[in-house]
Amino acid sequence: MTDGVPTWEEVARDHGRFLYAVAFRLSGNDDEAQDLVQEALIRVRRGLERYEPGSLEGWLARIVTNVFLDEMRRRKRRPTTALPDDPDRVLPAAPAADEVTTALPDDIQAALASLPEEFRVPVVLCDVADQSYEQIAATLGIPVGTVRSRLHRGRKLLRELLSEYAA
Amino acid sequence: MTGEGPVAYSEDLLSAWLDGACTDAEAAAVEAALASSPEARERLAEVTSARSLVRGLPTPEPPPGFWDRVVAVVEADGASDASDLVVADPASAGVRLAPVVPIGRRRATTRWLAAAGAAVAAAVVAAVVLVPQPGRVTPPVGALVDAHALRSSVQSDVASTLAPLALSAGFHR
Amino acid sequence: MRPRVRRALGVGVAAAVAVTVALPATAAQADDAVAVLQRARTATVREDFSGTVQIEWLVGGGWKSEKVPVSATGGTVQVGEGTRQVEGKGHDRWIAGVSGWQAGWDQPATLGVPSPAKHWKLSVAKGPDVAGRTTTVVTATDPRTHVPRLRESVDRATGVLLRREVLDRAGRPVRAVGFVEVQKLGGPRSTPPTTPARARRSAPRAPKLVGALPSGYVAPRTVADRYVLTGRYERADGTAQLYYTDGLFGVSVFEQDGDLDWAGLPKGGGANSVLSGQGREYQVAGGTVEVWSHDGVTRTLVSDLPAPDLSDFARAFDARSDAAGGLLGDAADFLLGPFGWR
Repeated sequence: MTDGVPTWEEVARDHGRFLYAVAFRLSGNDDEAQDLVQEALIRVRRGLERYEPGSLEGWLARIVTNVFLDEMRRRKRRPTTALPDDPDRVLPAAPAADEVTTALPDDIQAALASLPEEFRVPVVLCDVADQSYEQIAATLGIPVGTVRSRLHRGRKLLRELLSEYAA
Repeated sequence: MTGEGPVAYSEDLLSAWLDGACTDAEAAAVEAALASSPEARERLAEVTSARSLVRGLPTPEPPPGFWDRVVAVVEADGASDASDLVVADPASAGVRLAPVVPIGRRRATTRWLAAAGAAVAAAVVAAVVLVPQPGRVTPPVGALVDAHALRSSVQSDVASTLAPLALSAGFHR
Repeated sequence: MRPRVRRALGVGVAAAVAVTVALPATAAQADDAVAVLQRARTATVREDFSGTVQIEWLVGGGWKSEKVPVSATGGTVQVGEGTRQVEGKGHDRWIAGVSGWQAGWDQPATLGVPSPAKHWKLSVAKGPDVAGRTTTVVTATDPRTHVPRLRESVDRATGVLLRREVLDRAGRPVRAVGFVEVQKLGGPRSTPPTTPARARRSAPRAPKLVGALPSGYVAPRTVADRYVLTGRYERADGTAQLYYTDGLFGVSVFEQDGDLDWAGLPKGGGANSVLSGQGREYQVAGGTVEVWSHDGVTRTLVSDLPAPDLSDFARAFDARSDAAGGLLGDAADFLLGPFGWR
C-alpha cells in the first residue's frame, strides 16, 4: 500500500469477505456472486489510481452495486413475479410439513432475492454493507428521501414474505 | 440544524428512526406517533423484525476455490491491458460457442494489426478493446422433453405422462 | 333437461358420477367434470393395473406411434422396460439408463393450480370403449370458438385415465396417449414391488425447486391470461425450468442465458417463427417442442399443446417478459416467495 491506497490484491485479501457478502446477498447465488466480485475487482484495479482514501468499504460497496445494476440493466429483466392466491385451486393443500417456526438463513436469502432490485439493493446496502443513507443515495444516484421509502418498503415486503415464521 | 420546526410523521420515518438516520425533529414525530398509534407500533415491529433478520444473517462463505478463480480472472484481465504491438487474430473475433453456463461473460481481447513494415514502428497503435462475448447455448432438447414429462407427471395422470420417457425422443443424447 | 342418474359404480369405489346421456354443459356438469379429472389424477395411487400404452402424434402430415408397457402396483408406477425405464411413487421419479438409476424428480405438486373449469367449458358423457373398458369422457371445449380441444376418457369402474386426446383448432385429433390393452384393472390390490434402494447419483441431480430464480430471470405470473406459473426449478446444468398450467395443459419453459446455437439443435423439425426470432419446432412422443431466442435468452417450450397454441403461448410469454423489464414496477406484480410452495 502506498499513500493509504491499497493494491487490488490487498483489497481482495482484506475486504474479500465483505465484497462477497454484498455480492452474494444482492444476487442470491454463488455463480453470480463470483462474476460480480471478479468484475468489481477489475474495476477496483482500474480505479485505484483515482481513489481518494476515505471510506474504503463505502467505495467497494458502490462498485459492487454498480456492477450488479449494470448487469441487471444489460439483461433488462427482473426477478420473478408474483404467484396468485387462486381461489379456484383444484389440488388439495399440501399436508403441513413439520412446522418451522424460525426463518433459516436460506429462507431469508430467498426472500431477499425475491425482492425487486429497487428494494433489495437499499436493504442489502443498509443491513449487510452497513452503509449510511447518504452513501446509499450517492451510490444509487437518488435522493435520501427515496432511499428512506425504498428501504422501508423493502423491509415491509420482506416481513410479509417471511410471515410464516415467528419474528 | 437549528430552528427546525416540527415535522409531520410519515411511515417511512420509522425505518430511518431505527437506523438513527433522522433529525431530532423527525425523531420526535416518530416517538409521538408510536405513543399514540397502534398501527405505527405494528409497522415498527414489522420493519424491526425484517431489519434484524437481515442483519442477523451470517457472513456467507464462498465455495472452495472461489478466490483462486477470481484472482486468476482479474490477473488475466490485467495482463491483457499491456500496451504492445500485437497481431490481429481473426479467430478471436466472432461468436464463440460456449457450454451452457447461466451467468457470466467471456471477455475477448481483439488485437489490431498495425500496418506491415518498418513504417509501423513510428505509427504503432496499441489499442486493446475488450469485447463482451455472450456465449451461445445449445438446449439439450431431449433432456428437456423428459424434464417436462417428469414435472407434468406430478400433477397429471402419472402413467400416461411418464410413458414417453421410456422412449428415446429421437434426439441424440 | 333430463335428470341425471346417479349410479353406484363398482366395488370399492366411492361415490362417483355416471352419466348415461350426453347433457348440455352446465355448472353442475363442470363440477362433475372437474371431479372426474381430479380423481383420474390420483387414480394410480388407488388402483393397480398393467397394460400397454400407445402414443400417437401427427407430424408432417403423417402419424407416428409408439407403444410402452405400463404398470401400477400399490402406488408405484413403472413404465418401459430394458434400458429405458421410469419409476414413480408419490412425487419421486427414478430413471434407469445405461449407467444405473438416477433421481429424475423429487418435488411435491404445488398449490395454485387453476381449476380446468376456469378457462374451459367442460362436459361429461358416456365415452368410447378403450382397451375393452367402458369409459366416461370429459370433453374440454374452447368457450370462445366452441371447438372441442381435449378429450379424456376415464375407466368408469375405477376412474383411471385410459386415453387423452388433444385436438387442434378444427377439432381434429393431433395427439393421443391411451391404453391399447389393460389387465387387472379394478382387481384386488397387490403389494408394491420391493424397490431396491436406488443409489443416488450426484449428477445429474433432480431439478431443485427454487423460490426465486437466479437474479435476472423473468417468470411472469400468468401467460395469456390463462396459464399460471406453478413451479420454478433450477436444473443441475443451470437451466431454469418454469412450469405453467391452465388446469388441463401444462407448459414447461426452459430458459438459458445466451443466444441460440442453431448448429447444435437436433436434426429435423420445422421452422417456426416466434415473435422476433426464427424458431425451430419439433413434434415428438413427449409433445410439441419450440426453441427460439429472444433478447439474449434462449427458450425451449415443451407441452402437449398443438404447435399453434404453443406458439401463442410463446408470443404471450415474450410480451409479458418484455413488459416486466424496467426498474420501476408495480409492487402488485412481483413476488411472493418460496413459501407458497409448501
